[in-house]
Amino acid sequence: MEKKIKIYIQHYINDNLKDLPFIARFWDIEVIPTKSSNPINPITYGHFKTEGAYAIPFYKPISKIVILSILNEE
Amino acid sequence: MKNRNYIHLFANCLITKGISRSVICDLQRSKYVLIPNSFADLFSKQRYYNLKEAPRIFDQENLSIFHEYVAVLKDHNFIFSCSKKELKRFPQLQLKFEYPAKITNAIIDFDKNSNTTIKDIIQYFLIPYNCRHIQIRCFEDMDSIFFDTLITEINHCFIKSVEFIIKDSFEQDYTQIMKWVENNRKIKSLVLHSSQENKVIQKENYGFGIVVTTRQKITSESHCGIIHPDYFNITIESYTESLCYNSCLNRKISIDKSGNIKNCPSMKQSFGNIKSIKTLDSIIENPDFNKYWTISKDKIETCMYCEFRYICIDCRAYLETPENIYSKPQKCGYDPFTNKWKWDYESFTK
Amino acid sequence: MKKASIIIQSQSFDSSTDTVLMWLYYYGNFNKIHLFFNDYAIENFSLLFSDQKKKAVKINNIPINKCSFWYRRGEYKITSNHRNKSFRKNLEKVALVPLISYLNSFFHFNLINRFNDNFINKVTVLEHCLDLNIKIPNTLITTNSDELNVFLSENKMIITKSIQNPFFSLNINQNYKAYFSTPTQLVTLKDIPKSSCSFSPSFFQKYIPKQFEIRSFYLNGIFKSMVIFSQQNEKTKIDYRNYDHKNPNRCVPYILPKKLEKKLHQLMLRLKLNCGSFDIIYTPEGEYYFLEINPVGQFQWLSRNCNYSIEKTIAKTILKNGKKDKNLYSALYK
Repeated sequence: MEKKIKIYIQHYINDNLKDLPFIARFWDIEVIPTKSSNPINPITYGHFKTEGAYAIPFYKPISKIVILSILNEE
Repeated sequence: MKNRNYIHLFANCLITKGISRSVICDLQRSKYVLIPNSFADLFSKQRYYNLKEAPRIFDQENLSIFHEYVAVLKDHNFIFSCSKKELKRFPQLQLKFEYPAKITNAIIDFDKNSNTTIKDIIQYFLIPYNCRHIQIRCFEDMDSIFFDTLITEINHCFIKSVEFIIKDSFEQDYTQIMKWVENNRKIKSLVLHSSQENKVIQKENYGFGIVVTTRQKITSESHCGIIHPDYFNITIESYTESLCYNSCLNRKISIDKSGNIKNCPSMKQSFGNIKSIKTLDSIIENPDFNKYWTISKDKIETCMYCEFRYICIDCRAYLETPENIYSKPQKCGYDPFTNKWKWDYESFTK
Repeated sequence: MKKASIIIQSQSFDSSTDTVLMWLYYYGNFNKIHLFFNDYAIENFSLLFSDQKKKAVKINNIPINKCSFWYRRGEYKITSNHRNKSFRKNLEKVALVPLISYLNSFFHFNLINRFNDNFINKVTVLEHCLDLNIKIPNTLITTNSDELNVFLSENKMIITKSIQNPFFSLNINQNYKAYFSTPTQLVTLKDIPKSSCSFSPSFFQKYIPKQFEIRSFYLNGIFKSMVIFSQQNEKTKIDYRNYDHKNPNRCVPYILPKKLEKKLHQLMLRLKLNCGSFDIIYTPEGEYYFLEINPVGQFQWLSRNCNYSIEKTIAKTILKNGKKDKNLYSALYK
């Protein structure tokens, strides 16, 4: 469905070049279903009142108790 | 066109010289490359080199070696070309460690007898100090209600990430655990210890949500302190911190399973118990507590000679010579004089 | 000295806001922080000018003329709840819109940016650069392909961009949204139709060859610059915003020549802007070309790559109660 809309828009642009800026022929078009635009599960930060779409890690390991090479064994 | 005959190290590619060899740390791309000390010395006084000088200084054999190493630097994108006039436009990286928190990270151990609520811990010991990254460790079986309460409080507050190291109780099947981790997105990792096999149950998603089982039986805090290249950190924060501060204990707080406040749960000295105190202010100011914060690698025996000292982590709890707080970490198997690792770890070059 | 009361107007999802808040809490020497996030609803409003010099302006009972103010993102919303649609529209036009407009340009005694900074005119900015002797690429805005052809033959290599904000979106229907983006594009002879034609006003500039690009963050006269080595990667050569996530461009600290900084500072004064980011090209011949100003742009990547702690500087500026900046105040209003 997204592909169909994109093609339709591209045709529209090609048919109406004189009413659009020159750069319209180079526009990058991305069609997204509106329902997915907001993360369902935003991460919230309490009294800061800020939110995030993705979580943010610490810059270094907090403790060194797990032998990490098990992750490489796969 | 300008005459660009100088090669200049990028500001975020920093050379650390060890007793027997050197390392170039690429702080932007989190990687390192080994180079001989003789090559590192060319950049000891300034971070650029005039290529026109090389034929005047080196004989033919050394000149070709020199060009080989310049090619290595080019390949790894560590250098760029510039003119003499342009040199002053490229300043050094500011090496100050600046982080807006009096306490940056916390380890909190729990067992069945821990009489502490996460709500109080957050309110009195994390929020006032801007501590937003925590690791929770459980050495025995805990019930799932305990974890649900924990994660609810963590989700609502300002905490950015939480790591769990808990015992595999074999009660829940892994799909339930995977779902729990997926739904609570502040969980960076969940390590289930004392399990039947070493397995990655769920891969990471942008660095978060990894679930792993390990055969390691982590029955107490004494298992901590592993020094290994897997724990190397090559970022601006960790590097600038390592230059002046202890890469493990700086601005770290821990609450052991009995509620005792320590630098880390593996250390003996307790500075108070959360049952009786409601602030860390006096503990943070206590020199017996904060003296560990400034023990940087350059002050630690053997580490001060190691080329990895600014990208490595440290451990002040388990020392080769326990009475000496500047002693080398006991669980480090590397010898910077021979470049050999004592224990059988696989090759670590990235 | 009295502790600052602070207003931050931003979006809850903005991570640099989160970092600045962390610095504010870390320093702790403030009275209160008010957060005006996302579409901030004005429920109560009051303004009183009295006794020839007293001023008291309140939004939701917060005395905004007594607060330090940082505009990062977001906007004010005040709507009429009147049931009749045309009555509501007229009410908004005569009362509410002018009020919002006043608030969007409100000059707090200690501020970093205002909502209206979002709309600084790019063409006006280029004109100021001409007046101030700041190098800009040859620029053409035209509706005519013949003029474009002449421009191309005179300048050999040209690019096209959108005049203002390059990103916009269209609601297709209830379920879909189309996002249009316009990264900078090279224009060649074959892109221009052979016969004369017209198009809506379009923006073209001479392509300036780059040794590297510079992003410079400006706050109250101080520049913190970063160089982006985009020419080593084919993907990012024309526009460094065409990111290559696998092999990110080298970004390291840079120092602009004092002469250029002085001129750019004059440009900011003319635009009545006290904070913004500059995009500059440095050519292989060693010349600096101004591309654009981004009044409310991203600075987090500068902070992170160069260890500049810009968020710390912003927090410290907000915490000042404005006494030192009286000079900047008068310069901005000259």
